[in-house]
Amino acid sequence: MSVAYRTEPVYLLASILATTRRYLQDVSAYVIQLVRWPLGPLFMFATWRITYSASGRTSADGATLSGFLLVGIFGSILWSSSIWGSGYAIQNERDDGTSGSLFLTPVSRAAVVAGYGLGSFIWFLPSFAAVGVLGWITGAHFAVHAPWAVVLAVLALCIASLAAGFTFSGIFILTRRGNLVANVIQSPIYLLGGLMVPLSVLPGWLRPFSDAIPVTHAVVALRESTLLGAGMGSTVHDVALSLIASAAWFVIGLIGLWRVEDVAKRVGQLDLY
Amino acid sequence: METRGGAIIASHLRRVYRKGGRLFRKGGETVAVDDISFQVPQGTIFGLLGPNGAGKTTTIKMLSTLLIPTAGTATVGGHDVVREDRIVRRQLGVVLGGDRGLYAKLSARANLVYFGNLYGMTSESIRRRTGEMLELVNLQDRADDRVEGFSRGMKQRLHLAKALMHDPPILILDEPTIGLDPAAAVELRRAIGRLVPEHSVLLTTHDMHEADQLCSEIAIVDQGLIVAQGTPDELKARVGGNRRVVISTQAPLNGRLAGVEAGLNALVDVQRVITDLDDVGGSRLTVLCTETPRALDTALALLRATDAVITQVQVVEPTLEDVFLSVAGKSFE
Repeated sequence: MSVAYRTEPVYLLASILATTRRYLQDVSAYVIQLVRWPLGPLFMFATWRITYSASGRTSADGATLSGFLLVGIFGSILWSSSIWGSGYAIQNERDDGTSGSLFLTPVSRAAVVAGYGLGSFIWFLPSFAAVGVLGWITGAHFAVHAPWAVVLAVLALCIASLAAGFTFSGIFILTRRGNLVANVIQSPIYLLGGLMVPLSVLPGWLRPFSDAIPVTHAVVALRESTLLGAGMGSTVHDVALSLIASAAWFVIGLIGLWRVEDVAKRVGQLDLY
Repeated sequence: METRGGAIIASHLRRVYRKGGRLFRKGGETVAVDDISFQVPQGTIFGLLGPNGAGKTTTIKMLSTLLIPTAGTATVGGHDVVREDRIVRRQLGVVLGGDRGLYAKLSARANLVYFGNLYGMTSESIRRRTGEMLELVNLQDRADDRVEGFSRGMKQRLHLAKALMHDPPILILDEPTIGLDPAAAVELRRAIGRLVPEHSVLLTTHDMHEADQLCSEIAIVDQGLIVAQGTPDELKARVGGNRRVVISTQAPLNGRLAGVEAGLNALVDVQRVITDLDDVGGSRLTVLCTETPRALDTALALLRATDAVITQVQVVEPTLEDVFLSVAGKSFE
């Protein structure tokens, strides 16, 4: 009996989901991973919360400290998941010695990167829950007037993170030192993206850099819609800015992936197989 | 399926690597494959035989769409490997050498299921083929164990199952038995032998015995060029003079050998006769010839006429090693 194949759109979706499942099987093989990811954001939240309190602040950008930091930590969790999930996808395959087998299949490389991204989002869900509980215990105050605005902001944050992952997936592998690059770029984003520090306190000359990061606008949208009771109008504005930046990052990412394939096949210098 | 003559057709393939270049400095060039052309007939095993660094792996990387040729063209199943790379990948199952290429933390079954998804197979096909492939490579009992605990031989068998998962008509096997213990290598060779005639196979190896045993046609590659091509028998016939008849006697023949040598040298098939002492003190007569039966008959008759007691008779046919030595002018290793 011969083999039957899926139609193209179903194939794309199935390969994303299969990669997601494979990613989750792979990371859950290490017990330390089960402990590390929920604990990391908890300590991060606690550190920033104590630091702000020690400086005498009780609020940030009009929200309670815990609320402000809670949204920031959500953003940073998604950001980390992008970097170490979808961003690190191809590099991870190379490190594991499976990139040759992967590139021999007709699967879309973008689908594999997306599968890693989705897998890492799911993997980080316990972290969201743990930080949410800690934020609530430490006095996070929510003011949601437009639930759909919150949904929209969360979606924008996920898309922004995935866009960053796409961009990094090509950049990391082309630098051939993905983990080092990932470590270098991780910290500045906490500052520039307004994740842990209010954008209003940043020097003006840093603002263009902040604006170019899709996560920045999505975090603003999420903060305003969850903590300050913002309506659909202002949320849509920030979400639109986030989506525009995300689109630009997606394009850069796709060019990066094309470049990876080109360097691997034409120049033969990436040691992918 | 239209395959335009052969399952795989390589035409004047060339691959040059540029290395060490910087912004204002031109790097050097390494010619990995110079000019390679061959056809893999349908339903056969075609061997690319050559020492390490001969250009075999670079050739199969070009054929399997992992590298773009610097020059030349190639088709797999009638499809161009550069312009129609996605179609080629569906037609092709590839086993890359070494034990990399599998997800170590996943079970054998999970690996096959994942690759089935990457090839776009339906869920029903994946389920059915996973069972069939595990049975084919005799891994049913370890199907749900993590691959990281597998022996090298088991990993290689799983590689073969992975390559066959989407039922491709054409297979490329790159040094599939490298690093395997003899028993595992024999088992894998049996599995490879069973792939034809349903599949067309391109096998690269530097194991001459493997090539001789499995391939219906062989191309010997050296320094990026094919230096000889034909069936194993045709190739060995080119170095027919390397056939040897070796006869040992119980005691040294001393003065009686001159007549034997003269009688053998009179035969047209005989190229040279060498006499020396063997390890246990008897005489050893080595006859280099193009046809062994007549040389053997004559040598035995002449020796019996001297009342010699014959303790050992050995007929040594030429090997592919002799062929490589003859065409490349150097030893294989």
